[in-house]
Formats: sequence, structure tokens, C-alpha cells
Amino acid sequence: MSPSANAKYFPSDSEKLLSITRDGPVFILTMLDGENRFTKEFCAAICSAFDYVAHTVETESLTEAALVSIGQSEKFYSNGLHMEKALGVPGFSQTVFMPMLHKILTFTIPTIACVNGHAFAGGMLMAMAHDYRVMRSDRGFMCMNEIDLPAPLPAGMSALLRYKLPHHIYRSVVLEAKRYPAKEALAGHIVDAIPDKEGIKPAFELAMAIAKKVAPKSKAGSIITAIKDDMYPEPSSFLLAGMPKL
Amino acid sequence: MTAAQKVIFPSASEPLIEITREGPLFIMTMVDNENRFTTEMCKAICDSLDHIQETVDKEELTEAAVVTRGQDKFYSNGLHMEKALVVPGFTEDIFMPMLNKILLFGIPTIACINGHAFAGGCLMAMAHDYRVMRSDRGFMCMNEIDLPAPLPAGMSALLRYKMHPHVYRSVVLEARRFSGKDALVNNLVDAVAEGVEGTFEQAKQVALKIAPKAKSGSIYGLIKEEMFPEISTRLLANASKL
Repeated sequence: MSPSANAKYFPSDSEKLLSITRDGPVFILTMLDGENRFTKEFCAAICSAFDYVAHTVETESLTEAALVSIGQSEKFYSNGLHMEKALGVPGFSQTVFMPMLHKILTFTIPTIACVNGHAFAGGMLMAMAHDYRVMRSDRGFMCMNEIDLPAPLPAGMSALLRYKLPHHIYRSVVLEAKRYPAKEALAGHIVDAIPDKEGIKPAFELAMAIAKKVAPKSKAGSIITAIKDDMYPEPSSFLLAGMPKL
Repeated sequence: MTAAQKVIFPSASEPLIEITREGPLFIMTMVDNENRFTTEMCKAICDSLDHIQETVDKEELTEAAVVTRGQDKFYSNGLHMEKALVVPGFTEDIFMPMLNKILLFGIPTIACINGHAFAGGCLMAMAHDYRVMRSDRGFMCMNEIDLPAPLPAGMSALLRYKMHPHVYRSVVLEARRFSGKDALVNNLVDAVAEGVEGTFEQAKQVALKIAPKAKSGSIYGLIKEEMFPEISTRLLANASKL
């Protein structure tokens, strides 16, 4: 799934960490950085890309729009926070990563994560922040492995999982670091759909079909952010709790 | 009140709610066609509930339950366009406190969803302890996102705490319409039956089964307060202090 000639790259053409392409009403965000580990630059690029999509929806007065995110590689959606550049950086979660999750969680148009490979820790959180999740059926796990590292699971991240998952699944996700392949992720309502066929392409096509189906809901405009804020009040406030008050 | 007598709110000349009794059951029938919420309808519902609670206390009933229902095609089609939706403060001062009263009511509550339950109507049904829905006609739906209209925090919380997260997501973000069968599979309702009468019979069965819990007296309502604190605080959050 290589971006077309009309791709817009973030943070820039000379440093391509992700791209935005369009297919009808759908904005496709493709993460191009191998394991797609979160660093300050990568999170900033994701935020810029989301802002760009929101801005485009407004300036073009689109009444149908949705966003599908996907990783470019065969193996990874995202493997989580970067070891040296994020996990070791004080304040990274509170001031960079969690605000990024908040932006995705409350985004102004429908969002669909196409989990094309492993989604571990921060990668799983990014997928969970979307409205919908599609996962390839044949490879990859979703997993929150903080308890095994061990590392704490900050309140905002835990709340994000708690508000989106059945309780017994949340319990196993967090306390067991259980690895969920596609079929189990579907059964546990961690993802909404998996394709019948193997591979990334069927998963992507399924994600696009869902995106086109829900795209008309974006007509509600900025009300959607308010609706999502009220759907997830504790995740929303906890994810921003570490930000300096203006 | 004998079994044959009706108690009518607000009055016999302007009936919005009719209350009848069948054994331990109090049947609250909304008789205003689409049963859209206005100040008068919300007051009639609250007065009806107060009347039922007073009766339970006075007669020292150890078995009691409330079954609410509409007639024909509608349970309730939501807030009235002119008389509620555009009235400033209606949602915070009148509608959400009414939902809270149902949510925390002191005896078991069963919504007999005989027909459409849209928006405010869906919320009223969800505020009950149990829901029985007609399987062959009628939908439950929260269509705010299509209007578009905001969904106040208290209303969103009421849905969120009573539904599976992935169902809640679809209810709110898709304005998904749930037939009785869909609602059952997704645990939005507890039972379904065919036809208006069949649904009412099923609702009464569910109500008779839970009615003995009224023996717990005031504890029943207290237990519900501790079940739904996040909903309750939000439903009452912006009500004007009288």
C-alpha cells in the first residue's frame, strides 16, 4: 500500500514519517516508519496530519468524511513508545503521547484503525482511540504488555481501555498482558471486524467499506467532538491531565 | 384505587398518563399519541411516580413494580419540537431530572416498549431497570448525531453505564436503529414478544418476577443510587436551583 503521487507527507517531503492520501470521502493515514514507534517527532507528525484532515474537511465543506489509519509494513501497526526517545524521556507520556491519543479519541470525523500487524502497548492504545477497529485475520497481536516490563499504566491510558472494552476483557488486557490475535480480538470486542481472507489488502478493503458507510455522520461537524468528549469524559480529562494549564 | 379505577395525570380532561393496577403491578400508560416530552408530560410522569410511591408506602406493599407503556405505534418519539427542544433550560431543568427520578425509583421499573422509542423516548426506556420490546415493529434509536444535536453528558452517561461499550459506540455515533430482535441480541432490552398485547403480557411477566424485591423498601432506591452515581450527578448537574 504505497502512497500515490498525491500524497501529503508529514512532517515534510524530506522526512516522510507518514502520509495522507484520499479515496473519495476517506482520508488514509499511512504510517511509514517501520515499527512506527512513538517519538516526539512521530507524535507531532500524527497530530499535524489529523489537524490537516480536520482543516481540509472544513475548508472544502465536506459532508462525508472519515479517516482510516494503517501501518505500511507487513509486521507492524505500531510497536508502541520508542525505547530511548520516549520511554526514557520524563513527561513524554503526559505532554506528548496522551494528548495525541486525546486528539484521535475526540476527532471531528469518524476514525477507523486498520490494524495491519502488531499493535503493542502505545500502538494498541492508538488503535483503541479510534472509533472503529479492523484487524487482519492472519497475523499480528494486540497486547498491552506494561505489566510484564514492568511499567505503570497511566490513568488516561487505562481509562481509554476501560471505557471501550467489556470489563472482563479490559481486566485480561491489562492484568495478563494477554496477546490477542484477530479472532480473539473480534470475540472480545477489541476490534469490530476481521476479513474472511488473509493478508493486509482484505483488511484494508474492509476498513474502507466501514469508513465509507460511516462517513456521512461527519455532516454533524464540530458537534462530533463534543459528543465524543461526553462519551468518554474520564479518558478525555485524564489524557489531558498532565498538560500545563493555560 | 380499585383495579377498575384509573388515576389520570394531569387530569381527566387532559389525560397524558393513566395509572391502573393489576395485582402488585402499577401500569403507567402514556396516552398522548407520540408521547413527546413537554413540561406537562414530564410533570405528569413525575406526579405519577410520586403517586405510585405514596400508594406503595401507605399500603405497605411487599410486592410492587411499575410497568410503563405507550399505545399503538409509539412508546415515545422524544422531546417535543416546539414545546421542548427549543425551550431554554428544558433539558437541564425538566427532562434530565425526570430521567433521574425514573432511574432511581424506589420500586422495580419495567419499560414495555410497544413501539418506537426515539431519542428522549429511548432514554426514558433506558432509565428503567428492565425493558421488554415488541419484536415485530418499532425501533430504538438515538438520532442526535443525524439532526445534528449535542448529546448532553447526563444522557450520554445514562446510555454508557447501561450498555456494552461497542454497542454504546454504535448507538451514539451511528444513530443505529435497533429492532426488538437487534435490541435483544445487544442486551439493550431483556425480552421481546410479538404484537402490542403480547409485549405487554411479557412485560407483566418480567415485572411480576421482580416485584417481590420491593420488600426491601427504601433500600431498593438507595441501592440504585450507589449503582448509578456517575449518571445521577450528570443528569442533575446543571438543573437550576429552585
